[in-house]
Amino acid sequence: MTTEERILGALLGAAVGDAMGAVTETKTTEAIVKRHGGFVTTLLDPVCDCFARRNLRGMVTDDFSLVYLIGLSYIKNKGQMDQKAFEQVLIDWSELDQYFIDHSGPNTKVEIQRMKGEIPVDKYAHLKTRNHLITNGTAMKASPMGFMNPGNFDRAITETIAMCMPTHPTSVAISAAAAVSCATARAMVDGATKEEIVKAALYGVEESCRRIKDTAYPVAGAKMGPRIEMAVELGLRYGHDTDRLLYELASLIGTSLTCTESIAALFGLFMAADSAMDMVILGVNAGGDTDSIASIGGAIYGAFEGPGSFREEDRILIEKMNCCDNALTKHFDLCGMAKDLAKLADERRA
Amino acid sequence: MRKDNLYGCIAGAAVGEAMGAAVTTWTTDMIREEYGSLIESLLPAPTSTKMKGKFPAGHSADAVPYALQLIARFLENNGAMSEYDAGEVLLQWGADPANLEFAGGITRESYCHLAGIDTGYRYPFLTYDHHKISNEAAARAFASAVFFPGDVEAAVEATIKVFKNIYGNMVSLSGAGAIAAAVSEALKDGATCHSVLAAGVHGARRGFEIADSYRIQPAATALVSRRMELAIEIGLAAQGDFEKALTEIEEKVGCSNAANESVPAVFGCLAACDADAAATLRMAVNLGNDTDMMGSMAGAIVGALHPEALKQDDVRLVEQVNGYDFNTLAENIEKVISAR
Repeated sequence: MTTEERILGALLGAAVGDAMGAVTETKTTEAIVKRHGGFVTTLLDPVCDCFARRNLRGMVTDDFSLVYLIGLSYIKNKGQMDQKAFEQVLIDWSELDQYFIDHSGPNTKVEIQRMKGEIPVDKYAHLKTRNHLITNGTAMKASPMGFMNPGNFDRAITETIAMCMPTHPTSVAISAAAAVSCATARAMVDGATKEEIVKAALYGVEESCRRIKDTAYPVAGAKMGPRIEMAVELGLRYGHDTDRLLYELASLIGTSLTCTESIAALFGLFMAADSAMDMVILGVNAGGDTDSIASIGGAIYGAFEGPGSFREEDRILIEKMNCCDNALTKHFDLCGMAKDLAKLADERRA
Repeated sequence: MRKDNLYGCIAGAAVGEAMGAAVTTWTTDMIREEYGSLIESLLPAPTSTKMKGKFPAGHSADAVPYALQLIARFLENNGAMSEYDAGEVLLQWGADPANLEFAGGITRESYCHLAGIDTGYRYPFLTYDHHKISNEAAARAFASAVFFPGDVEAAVEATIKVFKNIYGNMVSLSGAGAIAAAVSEALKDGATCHSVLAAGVHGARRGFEIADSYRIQPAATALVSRRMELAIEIGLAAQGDFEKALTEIEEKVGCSNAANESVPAVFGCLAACDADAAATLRMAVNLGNDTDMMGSMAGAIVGALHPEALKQDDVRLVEQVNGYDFNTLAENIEKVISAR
C-alpha cells in the first residue's frame, strides 16, 4: 500500500470518526442505543444535548479540524515543524469560529487565550504539578506526527512533544499523544501487526516520559502505560462480544475526555475492531468522549488498513460541510491533502 | 464503645484531611524529595501546594469544616436530615471568603448557584456531564453516616438524599454511597476490614441506584464500584508490600479529585493495610494529588473502626488549630442515636 493511501485512510478515519461521534459525545452506550434505536453507524445530524448541537450532518469538531490544520501546516512549512509552528496552528484554528466557539476543549481554550495574551495570569503558577492538564486535547491531534513519520518513532515523538508543550505540557497528556503518534507511525509501515502497533504506543509513552522528565510538569495519578495495558487485555478478552467489551471498557477504564480513560480505552477497541470503519463505529458507540475515541482510533486503524472501508459519500459530505477559513470558502480536500502529505512524508523518509 | 467509634470517625476524618492538606496536588516523589520520606504527621502546607502556604500544621481543608457544620445542623434537628440542610449550611459556610478560597470546584459552584452568583458555566444543555464527578460528596459523607451506625442501607439513603442537590451527579453520589456505607459498617460492633470493604462496594452500587431513582445527572465515565473492585484486588494482592500497593493504586486506579479515582484508591489503601489505622492513613496521604480528601475519607473509616489507634497528639492539635471539640460532638451524636 502506498504512503498516500495510508495517509488518506488516517485522514478519513479521523474525519469520519469525529463527525459521526459528534452526535453521541458525552452519552453512555446505553443512552446512545436508547436515543438512536441502536448503534450509530452513519453520519447523522447532532442531537440537542451535545456539544455539536449547532452542527449539521457531516460537520467535524475540534478533533479533525485541528488535524486538518496541522496537515496544512506540515505542507506550508515543508515538514519543518517546531513548537512555534504548532502554536501558529492553534492561533489560526482559534480564528475559525465554526470550530473554536463550540468545540474548544477546556484546557486548549484557556491556553490559546493565554498564548494570545487574553488571559494574563496563570492561576496555577504556584503549583509544581498540573494535575488538571490531562485531557485528550493533544492526543486528538497527534496522528499527523505519526503518519508524517512512518516507522520513525524518534521524530514522531520529537514533533509530538513540540505539539503538546503550548497547551498540555504534562507527562500524562504528552505520553498519551506520543502513544497515538507512535502507534500511527508503526501502522504506516507495510506488514505491521496490531500487536506491534500497541507495542509502539507503549514505547511512545515510555520514551516521551523519559524525554520530558525535566521540561514538562509531572502529574500525580493514573499513568498511560498501565491503563493502555489494562484496556488491551480487555480488548483481547472480550473482542468477540461487543456489548460486553463496551461495558468493560466504559465501566473500568472509562471513556471520558481524560487521557487515562479515553486514550487508553481506544487501544482496547483497536484490538477488537475488524476494520477501520468498525473501529470508528466502536468508538462512536463506546460512550463518553466518543468523537475523540472514534477519530483517533479511526486515524490509527486508517493508517493501518488504508481508505478501503470508508464510504465515498461520507468523504464527499465531510468535504462539502467543512472549511478551513472563516469565510467558509476553502473546503476540506482530503484526497488532495493526502497526496501532498504523502509526497512530503516520502521525501522526509528519503 | 459506640461513642468512642463516633469520636474516632470524626477525629480520624479531621486528622487525615489535615495531614493530606500539607501535600495536596504533589506527586509521591515530590513528597519524598521535600521531606526525605513519606509523611505520617501533621505538617504546614508549603506554598507550592493547593493551600498556597496558608495552612499551619493541623489546619482543615474544606471537607471537614463543612461536614462538621452539617453534623451540628443534624443535631439541632434531632437527627433529621434533608437536602435543604446541605444547601442552607453551604450558604452559611460559603459566605466566609476564607472558606470559599480553598473549596472544591463543585462545592464552590453549588454555593454560587445557591447565592445567585454566575459561575460562567458553558454547558447547561448537556444531559450527561462529566465535570461534576468529584469526590466532594464522598469526603463529606461521614457527616450523615455517623447517625446510622451499623445500618448501611439507611446511611446510604440518607447520604444520597442530603447531598443530591449540592453534588448532583451519579458518579459523585456513588462515591458518597461507598464512604457512607463503609463508615456505617465500621461503626458496627464486630466490623472487620473485609466487612467494611464489602459494605463500601455495596454502598457504591446502592448510591448509584438511588441517585438514578432521583433522576440525578449521569456521566459517561468509569463506575466507582468497578474501580473499587480493582483497587481492593490490587490492595489485597500487595498486602505486606507497602510500596507496591502505593505505586499500583496510584498508576492504575488514580488519585485525582474524581470520585471514581480517589474513592476507590481509599479502599485500595484499606485493603493493602488490612485497615491498620496508621498505615492506611499513611498510604492515603502519600498517594499524591487529592491527598487531603483521601486522608479525610480514609481517616473517617479507620477512625471509626480503630479509634484507639489515632495519635492523641494529632487529634489535640487539629482540635486546637480549628477550634473543634470531637468528644462533645460524639456525645451529642450518641444521644440522638440512642433517643431514636
